[in-house]
Parts: sequence; C-alpha cells; structure tokens
Amino acid sequence: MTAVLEVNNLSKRFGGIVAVDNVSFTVNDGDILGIIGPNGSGKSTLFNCVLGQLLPSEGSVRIDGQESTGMRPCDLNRLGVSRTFQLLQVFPQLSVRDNLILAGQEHQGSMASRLFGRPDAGLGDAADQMIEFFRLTHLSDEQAGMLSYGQQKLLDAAMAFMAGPRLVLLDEPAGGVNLTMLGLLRERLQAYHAERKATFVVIEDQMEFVMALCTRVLVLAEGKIIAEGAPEEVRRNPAVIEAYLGH
Amino acid sequence: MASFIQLMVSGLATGAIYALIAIGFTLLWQTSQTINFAQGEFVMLPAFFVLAAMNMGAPYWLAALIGIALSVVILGVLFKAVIVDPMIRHGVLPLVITTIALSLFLKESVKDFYSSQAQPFPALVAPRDLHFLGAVVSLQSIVVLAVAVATVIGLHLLLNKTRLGRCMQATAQNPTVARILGIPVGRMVLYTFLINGALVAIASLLISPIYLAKFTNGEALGMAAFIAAIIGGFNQVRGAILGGIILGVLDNLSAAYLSSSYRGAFPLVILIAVILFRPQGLLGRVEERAV
Repeated sequence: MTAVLEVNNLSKRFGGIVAVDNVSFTVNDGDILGIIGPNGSGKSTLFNCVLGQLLPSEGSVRIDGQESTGMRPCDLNRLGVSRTFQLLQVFPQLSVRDNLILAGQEHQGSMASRLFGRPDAGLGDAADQMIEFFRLTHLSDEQAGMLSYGQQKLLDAAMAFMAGPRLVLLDEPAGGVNLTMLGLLRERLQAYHAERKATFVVIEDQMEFVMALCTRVLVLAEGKIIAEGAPEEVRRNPAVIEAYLGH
Repeated sequence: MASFIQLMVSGLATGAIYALIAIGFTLLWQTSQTINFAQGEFVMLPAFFVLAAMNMGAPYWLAALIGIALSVVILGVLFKAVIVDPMIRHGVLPLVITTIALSLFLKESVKDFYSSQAQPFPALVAPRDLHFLGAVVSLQSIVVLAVAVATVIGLHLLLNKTRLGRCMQATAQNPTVARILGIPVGRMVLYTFLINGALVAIASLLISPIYLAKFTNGEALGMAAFIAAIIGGFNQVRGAILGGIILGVLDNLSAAYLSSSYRGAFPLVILIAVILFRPQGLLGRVEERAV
C-alpha cells in the first residue's frame, strides 16, 4: 500500500528559530491522522509546508508518491489535496450551494465554457448531496456569511470534500465551535470517512475531538515529534503529559 | 402631475446613467481596492474618442463601437497595467492620489489636444416628444433609460448566472481561497477593469448628447458616481444602482420643486446625512473584507 502523504525529514527555520525540526511521518489510505501539540509546537508551520504555503528549509513532501515539495496550493488542489481553514474562509455573499459548486469546480475550463456553459458546471447534484450530508439543506440558498459560526465550519468541511479529494487537511476544525455543533461535525466527518474511505489529517488543540475522531495521533513539541500512535497510547504517554502540563 | 411624470422620467434617465458609472466604481473597489477618482473623466473621455472617429469620417454607429473599444483598451487594460498594478503595491492611498492626478491629466489633455469648447454630440435618437397620460416625455430619456437598464440586466446575468460571474464574485469576496481553488484571480480582476471600461463608454454615449462633450464634464459626473456609491453602499452593485437612481431623481425633483440655485447642494446634503446616520450605505454591509 502506498502512502497518500509522505513527509520526509522536513525542517523549517525562520532565521535562527527552528519551527519544525526534522519531522517525518506517513499517512496511509483511509487514515485519520491527528496532529496535536501545545501552542507554538510547530503544527501550523508543518501544515503550511505540506500545503505549499511555506517552502520547507529541508526535506520533502510526497502526495501519492509524487514529489510535491514547494508546489503552489492551487496545483496541490489539482492533485487532490484540499483543506479547511482555521479562520473561516467561505465566500460570504454567495449562497451555500454556490460556495460548494465553486469548491468542486474544475477551473481549467475555457473562457467560453465559463461564459456559456451550464451555470452549475454540472455540479448541482453533487453540491446538493454534500449539503444534505452535512445537514445544511435548510440553508442551501442562504448567503454563507449569514450562517452561524458552527454552520460555516460545517460548510468549510463540506467544501473541502466537494472535489472528491485524495487527502483533506483540516486546520483546527473544532476551534470556537459549540458542543452540539462539534458533536455533529465529528459525527459527520466519521460518517464521511466510513462511507468514502477518505483520508484526513487534522490539526487540533482540542484533545477530546482528536481522540474521538482520529485513528492515529502524532504529538509535536518544540518542532519535534515526541509521540506517535493510537489515541489511547498517546494519551497515556508520559512525554505527552510532560509537554502539555510540564515546565 | 404631468410635470411630475416628466421630472421622474428624466430623473430616472439621469439616475440610470449615474448608476452605470457608480457600478463600475464599486466593481473596481471590490475586486482590486481601486478607488478611482478619475471615474468622471473616464466618462468624459470616450465621447471624444467617438468625436475623433467621426471627424475621420466614421458613421455614428461605427464611431460609437470604436469609442467603446478604445475605452475598454485604454481605460480598462492600460489603466490597470500602467497605473493600478504598479501603485496598488504601495497601498490604497497612493493609488487614490495617482487617480486624482490622472483625472487632472485627462482633463487638461482633452482641453489641449481637442478643444476647451463644449462640442455637440449626436443623440441615439432624433429629438421627439412622446405624449403619455397628459405628460410630455422626451423619447431620448426613454431610450437612455432602456439602454441603461439593458446594460445593468446584462451585467447582472453575467455576474450571477454564469460560472465566470461566480468566479469574479469569489475573487472579490475572498481572493486567497479563490486562488487556492485555482480560479485565475488576476484575470478575473482584469475582466472587471474591462467591464468598467465598457460601462463608462456606454455612460458617455448616453450623457454626452445631454451635457455636450466638454473636458470639464468629469467633475460633476465623478462626484455623482462617488456619492451614488456611498449612498447605496460601497461594496454592493445593487447599492450603486439604488444610489444612482435616488441621486438622479432627487436632483431633478429638487431643482424643480425646491430651488434650482441650490441644486448642487442636495446631493451633498444627502451624502452627509448618509455618512452620519448610515455610514455603510443604504444597502451596504459593514465592510467584511480584511484588507
């Protein structure tokens, strides 16, 4: 089985500060990998290196065995890597449905097809299914900016899955979401995983969410991996407890 | 009543022209943070393209097409490439100042190279009055209104009913994500400049027969578009339409019923009232964009 995502000896330095220090891990088909760690542990920097928003100082990233280090985010998108955002990034004045159609659209199309092609680009049905899956049916025609914060998080997740990606990277999906909505989000992500064998990587501060959702957890502290394994093992690992509670 | 209908129709016609200019103004702001203080001169100039083409012997319809084409190229493509792209890197304010300089440059150039005299400009239709419910309405007002409405409808269909329009809206609302999704953001921004070039040219064809073509026309028109955009809501195309219509109608009604000598003051009073009591404009939302 080939790894969907392979990170090898990745480091990222900002001047004298080593934000990510020689990190290697793989994500296999159907995994839900959680990356946790205290604030400033290098999670977001690692994520941004994988997503092409930062160029790693050393090391490489491979998607499905193909070298992708330093690729632009839009090219990664074409390889089937999509993401959600820590701070909400929907299109606020477009409807929920239009947001999803945009997220799933093949933007390679010619000028003429953009102008004269079907307005829903043949994605209307897929968008409606995704809306139903994430329990947003009653909000389909609402402007995305009018949704509650939690609903926008659901929409953000739905957008990430819209193009049927190989790999979805979720950046703090639980941040600031109330408990009810959090339960729904986790349950829907698990359902999606069960149904489509999708592969995710989740960065999250909220331990409970990660422990309940992920099949494997990786713990970062000061830019290094200090623990890796099944959620229960990691939770009991003294090094992890030290990193979170120590000093 | 009869005179009220006349005033309404001519007010709507003027307002529709203001709306076209204001729409272009807000489009540029939404997609590229360009506050174009030369927008009035952008409306003044295409009339001279048309007149120049007619002086070379082109019939009106051909000259009008040439005027629109030149406007799209010069006030759209060149404006973006030569002025907006290099200046926007330094921030919104330096670009604003540059567009003010551009407005002076365009105005003085027309004065020096063409004429400082007002030039008669051909109307779309021969002057004729229509009688309607006892009121006399000029055919020209009706035609102006029809062309403006058709233009707005066409733009609305483009922006809301095509994939291209959706990509343009996405670019305006969230360029970062639009880029990640693979939307060619740079090209979408360019298209809004092309659209603005076409809008100002159409506005020029509609308004120049009324005001005559004169190098100073841009002063009042630019101010009207700016006020219309503020009244309606700076970040909304519908706001620009509403603002333009309100301004045109009030302009005509106040001149007739209140005082024609204070005509120029009314739009400014409305502007001040809107800024004081509803700074986001009548239809606007509090600015969501993080610049």
